[in-house]
Order: sequence, then structure tokens, then C-alpha cells
Amino acid sequence: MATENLTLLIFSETVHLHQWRGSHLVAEYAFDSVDQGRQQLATIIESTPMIPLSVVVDTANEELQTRLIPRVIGRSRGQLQQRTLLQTFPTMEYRTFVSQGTVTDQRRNEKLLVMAITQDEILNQWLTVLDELGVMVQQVTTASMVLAQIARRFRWSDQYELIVYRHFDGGLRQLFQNQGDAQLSRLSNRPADSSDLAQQFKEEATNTRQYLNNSKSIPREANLTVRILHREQLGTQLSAELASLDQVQLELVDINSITKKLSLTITPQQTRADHLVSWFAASFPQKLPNFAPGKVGERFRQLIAGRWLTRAAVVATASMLVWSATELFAAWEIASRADDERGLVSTWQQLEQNALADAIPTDTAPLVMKQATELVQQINGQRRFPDQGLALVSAALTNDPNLQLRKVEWAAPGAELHYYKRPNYPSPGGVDQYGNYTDPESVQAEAAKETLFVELQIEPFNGDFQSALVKAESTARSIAGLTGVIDVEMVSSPLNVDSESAFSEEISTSSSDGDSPPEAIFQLVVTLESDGFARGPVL
Amino acid sequence: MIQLTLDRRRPMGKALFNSGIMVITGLIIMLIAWQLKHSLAAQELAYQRQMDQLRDQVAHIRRDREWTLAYQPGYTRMVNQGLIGEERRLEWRAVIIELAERLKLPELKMTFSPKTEFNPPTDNADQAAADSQVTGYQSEMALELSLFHGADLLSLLDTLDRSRSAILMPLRCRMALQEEPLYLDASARIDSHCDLQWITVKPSPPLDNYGFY
Repeated sequence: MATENLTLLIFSETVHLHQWRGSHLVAEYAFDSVDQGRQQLATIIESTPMIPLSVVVDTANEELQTRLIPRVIGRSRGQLQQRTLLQTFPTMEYRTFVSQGTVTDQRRNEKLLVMAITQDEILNQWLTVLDELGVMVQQVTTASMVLAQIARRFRWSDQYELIVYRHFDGGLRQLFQNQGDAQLSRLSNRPADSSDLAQQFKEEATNTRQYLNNSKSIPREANLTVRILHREQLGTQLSAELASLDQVQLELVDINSITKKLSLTITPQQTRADHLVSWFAASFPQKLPNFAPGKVGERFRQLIAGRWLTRAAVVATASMLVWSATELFAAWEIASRADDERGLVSTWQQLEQNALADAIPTDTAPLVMKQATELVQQINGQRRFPDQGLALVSAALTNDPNLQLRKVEWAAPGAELHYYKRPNYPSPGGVDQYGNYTDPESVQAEAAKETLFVELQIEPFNGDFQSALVKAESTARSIAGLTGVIDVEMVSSPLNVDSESAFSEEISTSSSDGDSPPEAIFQLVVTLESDGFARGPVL
Repeated sequence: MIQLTLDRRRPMGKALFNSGIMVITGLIIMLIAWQLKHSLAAQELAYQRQMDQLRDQVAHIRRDREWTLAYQPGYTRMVNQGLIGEERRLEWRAVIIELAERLKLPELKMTFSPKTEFNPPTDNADQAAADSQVTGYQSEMALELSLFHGADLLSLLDTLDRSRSAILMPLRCRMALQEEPLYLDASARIDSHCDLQWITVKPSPPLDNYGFY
């Protein structure tokens, strides 16, 4: 869709409104007075709201002045430019400037083209109307500035160039450029008599050359390129008439050919130079100097800001819609999964009903029954009874009738013997007398075994303790050799004459009836393999 | 200075109005989409939880059935025998006296200690105690007897073990010969002492929320 633009061309006597849709001139309206224009403009604006309008002033000469200012950068540059503009045209309401680059003399300066619209009565009237109608004025510019832009577009950049076209009011609009920089803008009056148009061009070109020479804008010997925008039928006549001018290089530019190059759709019979100016002003407003004070373009700036706001809102809304679409897609997936899971729930509910139907009612929780059974089984596995241990030792003593069992004690794993307590029972873990670490597990393992304390007496005993010791040791060895016996320790021998301890004995070699006969008693501690003696289960 | 106003006749106002409508519409759609997804996700989560619960319940019911089939006969038998439940000290006493009379033991002395909890050693006793719904109890008994023969003690222990109203765990038994073997008299010749554990099992009462019975 092509962009629509409006251009209001203000001439001295009439005002034209061009309605452009892209490069197509949709409509052209001519207003003879402000009052007439107000009504028509209201109707047009009502049918085409929110279309920006460019105002092109083409009523008189414009003030073009060149200023050199120190080249600075940053915020100071803008302040300096504005101050220069204000100093140059302190009373003008419509003024602006264009930077024409940097010139280097003794110092680097910036060259400013400072401009103002000197005759602004008609412009003020129309801007008031536009403001009342709520039209969005995007800029106010001049025909000469648009013409300079057209020249830049078509690379008309000879050193001294005078561009001329016939004004709508009958005069000639002239723009002089020095190496592409505008220096002079003139609008000649319509000739009093209806003289030949070619002759009018010749006279104005001659006068302007004279003026430029006098103002030293161009050297007298320099060639001036005169570029005339004309209609096709005037070309031959202009060539013949202007050929006699000295130091003039004539360039004739057919307006229709430019129209074709730009693909503008304008009825050929109606095509004028101001159509080109109007289209350029409407299509490239950002390249043209804007003479409008701040309040004039407020609506347009609001429109632009509103457009950006709308674009941002569109982007944000589109992002939200995309996000929503992904969320909805995810929701669709979740919904489909939820349907499957609902079916599974029904299946599991049926399974639960079947399981409940098969359940066996009990007074006691099955877990309690299981744990109680396992606890009983665990305790059963730890039970030990003394019968097997005692039977083991008794069997070893059966073959020796001289050994009498005086005391016996059996202790379950983990329980201590009362008849015999180890004098130096090793603590669980630690360092022994040689500085080596003892293994706590081995000590605990020994304590966890069944133990059997046995006190035996050799009867009859003839007093030979050496033979008694031999018998005691052989008894210990025979018990140690039995299956299920881990260790046998003689904790007390028939006569304790240990070299490590003191020993004292009073012996009467003359026997008497009152003396008690000597006894040979020894004690053994037997450690049994507990695993082999587990009691049967209770159940 | 651009004045932000909602006057729709002004370009900025119109842009603000249109942008607001667009953004609000987008937000509403986004909110609806989010709410829809959130509610469906919650519904799906509810289904998953319900399914997990049902799966656990079915597994629980099946497991209970298996345990009932496996353990109920033995458990019922232990309850009937008295192994599970309250202690039957009078029954144990009667059995001991009956045995002593049958073995013609002249005197005996039995001393019961108060009942205490009994926790058999396991790899993780604390965790086992926390998870267990049954508790073992022990009552220690010091039994002193005068015997004619050492085998009488073993016979006594064996008979007590067959009573099945508790798990009998002897801790230690000692016997000492008091008279010469050739001493001929009707009195007993062997003093014996046994420390016994009578172990019973009882279901634990359920714990409250604070971990107390």
C-alpha cells in the first residue's frame, strides 16, 4: 500500500494542494483565497485524516546567507548553530540553517547556510487554517530548497550553476549554486506584457549573471551553466534564443523526461515544475530544511511518536500472541496427556477394586504380623543353650575317670562368666604394650562367642604336681581338639608357680592325721563356635 | 514537548488508545493461555498424583494379601501360645514348679526383674526401631536350684523351652559340686544358678504426631 502525502504549495496569488499516493498524483486542488480554501480543505482533510502535509512556500525571494562558525562538536555545536541563526534573523519566525561542511582557512570552520522566509503573511494565514483544521504539518520548506534537493538527486553539480524554471504565477524561479551549495534564490515577477517566454528566460539569465558578477559570486570570465526546466515544446525556442549568451552553457531539461525517470503519474499536459517540487517535498521531507517553528509540527511529531508507539505495541502484541500460541500448544499437549492419564486412573481404580475384592480381612495389620514373625525369627537365631557345650566337654572327660568336674559355667555370646573374669581384658581397640594397634573387631568377636568355664580336680592325687600339670595340659589339648571348640585357655594350673609372680608354700614333710591331703585343681576357659550350636526355632 | 493525552482526536491520543487496546488484548489472550495451561497442568498433576496414590494402594493391598497369606498362620499360633501379647509369668512359674516337683528338686528360688524393651542387635537398630510396629520385651529371671544331677538343669531348660509362651534365652548357667561324688545322702549335691531371659513380643501402639505413644 502506497504512502499518502499532502503538499500545500503556497504561491503569491493562489495556493495548491496536491494529494500524492506514492508517485501518483491523486488530486490537485487550487484555492484562490483563505476562506475558500478553509472549507475545501476541511472536506479534504476529513476524508483523509492522519495524512501528513508538507508546506512549500514559493512566494518571494528567500534570504540565503552563509556564515562561518568555529567547528565544535557535541552539544555546543547545536547551541552555536542556533545562536548564529538567531543573530542572523532575530525577527524572522520561519528560519533555519543547513550545514554545508567544513572549510579550512587558518582554522577549521563550519559553513552554515542560514535561511529565512521573509514574506510570511500568506504562510501565517494558511498555517492558522491548518492548525484549526487539525492538519498534521510535518514541515514548512521553500521551493528553492526543494529545487536544490532535486539538483542533488540528479547530480546537477557544475561549479557555477543557475537552475531556472517557470513559476506558476508567471515569473521565473532561479537558484544559483556554487559547487552544489545554494547561494542565491530569486523569484522574478511576471512580465507586465505577454512577451515571449524564451525572451523572458534570456533576460532573467542575463540579469542574474550580471548580479552574480557584481556581487562577486562568480568571476566574470567563468562559465555559468544555465539549466532550464521546461516543457518539451519550448526546447527548440529556448536553444535558439539563449545561444547568443556569452560564457553560458545551456542545459535544457525536459520536465516530462524527469517525470518519466521518477515514474510519476501526472497527466503530461498538466505537468509543471511545481509538480516535481511538490512530489519531492512530499516524498523526501527528511532531506529538506524545515522552517517551521516547534509548535507547527507538534501534531506531526505526535503522529510519528504515535506511529512508533503503535509499532512497539504491534511488536509487543505479536510477541504476546506468539507466546500465547506456544502456551496454547503446550496446553493442548497437556490436555491430550491428561486424557490418557484419566484413562489410566480409571484402569487403576478398577485394579484397586479387584485388589480390595481379593484382600483377606485380618484383625492385625499384615505389617505387624510380618514384623512380629521376623522379630521372633531373628531372636531365635540368636538363642544359645548350654546343653550342647556341656555335652561336648563331658564327652571329653568320659574316658578319664580320675578327673572330677567341680564347677562348670556356661555363658551365652555377649554374656560374661561369673566364675572367671579375665584379669586384663583388652579394651576394644587401642595400643598394646608393644605399641601396635589392636584390632577391636577380633576382641569383640571373642566376646561374642559362647564361653565355658570348667574347674576340674584330679582325684586321686599323689602330690606330684608335675604329673598333674601334664595331665591338665593334655586335657586342655584334648578339649581343644574337639569339633566346635575355638580355643582352650588354662586360667589356673594345679599349682600356680608362674615365674612372673611371687610364690610361697609351707610344706610339712612329717605327715600327721590332721593335715589335709594336697589337691590338684585346674581351671579351663573354653571358647566355642557359636554358629554350630544355634537352638531350633520356636515356631 | 509531546503531550501524552488520551484525546482520540489527537494523533498521540489515538495511537495511545490503539496501542492500549492492542496490548490489553494481547495481555488478555496471554493471560487466558497461561491460565488454561496452568489449569490443565494442575489437572494433569492431580491425575498423576491420583494415579500414583492408586498404584501405591494397589501395591499395598497386594502386598498385604501376600503377607497375610505368608504370616497369618504363624502369627495366630504365636498369639495363641502367648508368645505375642502380655507376659504369662504365672504360667512360667507354674511350669517351673511342676518341673521341680517332677525332678524332685528340694528347693528353688526364682527372681523376676521388671520387664524391659528388648531390641536384638541389627545393622541399623535406630531405623529398625523407628519403622517397627512391634516391640520385643524381656524379663530376666535368676533361677537358683539344688540339683541331684547336672542333667536335671538341662532337662529343666529344655522343658521350659518347649512351653512356647515365650522365647527362652539362657544368658549363663553355672553349677558347683557341693559334696563329694561318693557322699551318699538324700540331699542334693549341686548348686546351680541360671540367668534366663523370657522374651515376648507385642504390637506397638501407634505413635502420635509428636512421636509419642
